Amino acid sequence: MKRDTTLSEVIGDGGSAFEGRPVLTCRDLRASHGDEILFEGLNFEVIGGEIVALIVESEWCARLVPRIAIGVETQDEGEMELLGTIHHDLSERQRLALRHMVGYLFHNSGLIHNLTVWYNVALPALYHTRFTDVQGVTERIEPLIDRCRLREICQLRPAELDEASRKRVALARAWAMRPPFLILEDPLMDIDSSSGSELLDLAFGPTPPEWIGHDPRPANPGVLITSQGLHEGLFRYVDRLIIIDQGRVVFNENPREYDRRGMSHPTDILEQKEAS
Amino acid sequence: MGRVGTRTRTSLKRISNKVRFAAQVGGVLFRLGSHGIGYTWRVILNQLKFTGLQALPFLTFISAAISALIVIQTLSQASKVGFEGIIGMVFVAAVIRELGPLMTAVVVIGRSGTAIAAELGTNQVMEEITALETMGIDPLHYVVFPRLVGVTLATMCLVVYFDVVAILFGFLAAQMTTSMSLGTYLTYIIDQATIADLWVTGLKGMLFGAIIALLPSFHGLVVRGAPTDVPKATTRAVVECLALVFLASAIVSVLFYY
Repeated sequence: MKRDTTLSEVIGDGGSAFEGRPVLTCRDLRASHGDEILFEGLNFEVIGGEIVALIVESEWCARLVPRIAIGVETQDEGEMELLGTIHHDLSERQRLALRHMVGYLFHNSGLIHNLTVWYNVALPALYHTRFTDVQGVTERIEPLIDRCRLREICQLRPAELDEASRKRVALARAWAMRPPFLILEDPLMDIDSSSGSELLDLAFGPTPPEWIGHDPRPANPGVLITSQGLHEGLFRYVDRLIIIDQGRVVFNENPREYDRRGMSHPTDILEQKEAS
Repeated sequence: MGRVGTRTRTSLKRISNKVRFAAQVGGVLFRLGSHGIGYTWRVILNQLKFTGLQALPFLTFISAAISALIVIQTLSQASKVGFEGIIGMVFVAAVIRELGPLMTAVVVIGRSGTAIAAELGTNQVMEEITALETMGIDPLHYVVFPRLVGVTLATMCLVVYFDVVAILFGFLAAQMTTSMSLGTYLTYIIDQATIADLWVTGLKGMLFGAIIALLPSFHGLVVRGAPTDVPKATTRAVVECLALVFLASAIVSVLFYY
């Protein structure tokens, strides 16, 4: 393993290293929960710089796919290739090394309860430098704190925050290592629609004028979002929408181009699903 | 017979899981230079503060009470036959060799062992351990190893502290019972104490500290799903820690003194 001493030696450069190349490839994936098959024959790719939303049928499924993608859960069949590496043959240490270049937002934020907001955001940056590079970490984390509007709450602990604020903290943490690939695991769960829109605007919206030229968000990462429903904000930002119905992919297109291709509107598909 | 065989296999598997876990945590030592060494030290210092410093008032009370009781009970009988010198032998054998390390371990299990099992169990239920893994952070490195180092160092220091406080309060008790002078009291104790006692005290402190850090960590990390599993894991950790600490104490004493 590389012996790194400063943050600049371990931090990524957003999606530039994987531009036009897949950051995640899912081949013939099959997974079940007890006797129920959650999905099978699942094939999709996320290309560097592309935002892909995976609309699934259950909470369990929304968590399982991204977790299989980074190797903390296992599939029944098929394989996942993450950042050009098929990881099911890797040792746990090799997987950990691979994961540090993935930004991951948990459905429940996954914040560490005994750390303040500042330390939660800084944790991956503090950990992945061999000796704590305080200056490098501070220079990286401070802009993220401001960009995600966490300045007022940065000395609080997660239990003192509302869910929407916790999601913003988790997003800042996912950006900390400027990863080429971001995974948002059911990010709209437990927050209201307007907070959901704010979160998606923060994550994928255009850079506000005051941040132009020094936006701390990673540039053009590949993004996989899993969700149980089709939020209006997803329509605005995703490049590709994959809908899974009864374990199989029923829609895999750019949601803004559905009518040009003579397909049903994605919301119609979801409504039919609910009706059936 | 079949059921006995199954139970034996299950028990052996549980033991081997814990041994493997201890070996994996030990393996972290060899990778310390690779990541997060600066941050790990901060967690170790926090653990030292919680397990060591914050345990001092309670440990002082326990040490003072036990040493005073033993001295009073011994001298009240021995002084009747003019055999006060036995206090050195009794004190070294009972307090320094056995009760000091054991009572320190019991205090550390009660404070830190339960806290570690409950905290890691809650971390598991809240998916904080999985969150660490998704960030490429090794939970053994970030969560368990600092606790192992912190609790082991703290327990070693606490055992020594227990003995010092016990000697001090033992003298106060001796003075109250028989008006024994400090010089006489210390001579009785030093005459009975050997270099081996120093080694055994250090060894027991280290061994007990490692047990108290590893077993609760293991039980905390194997919690799956329900929050109701956290108190069960804590109870299991405490019971197993107590059993293993007493067993280890007996083995070390037999090896060194018989």
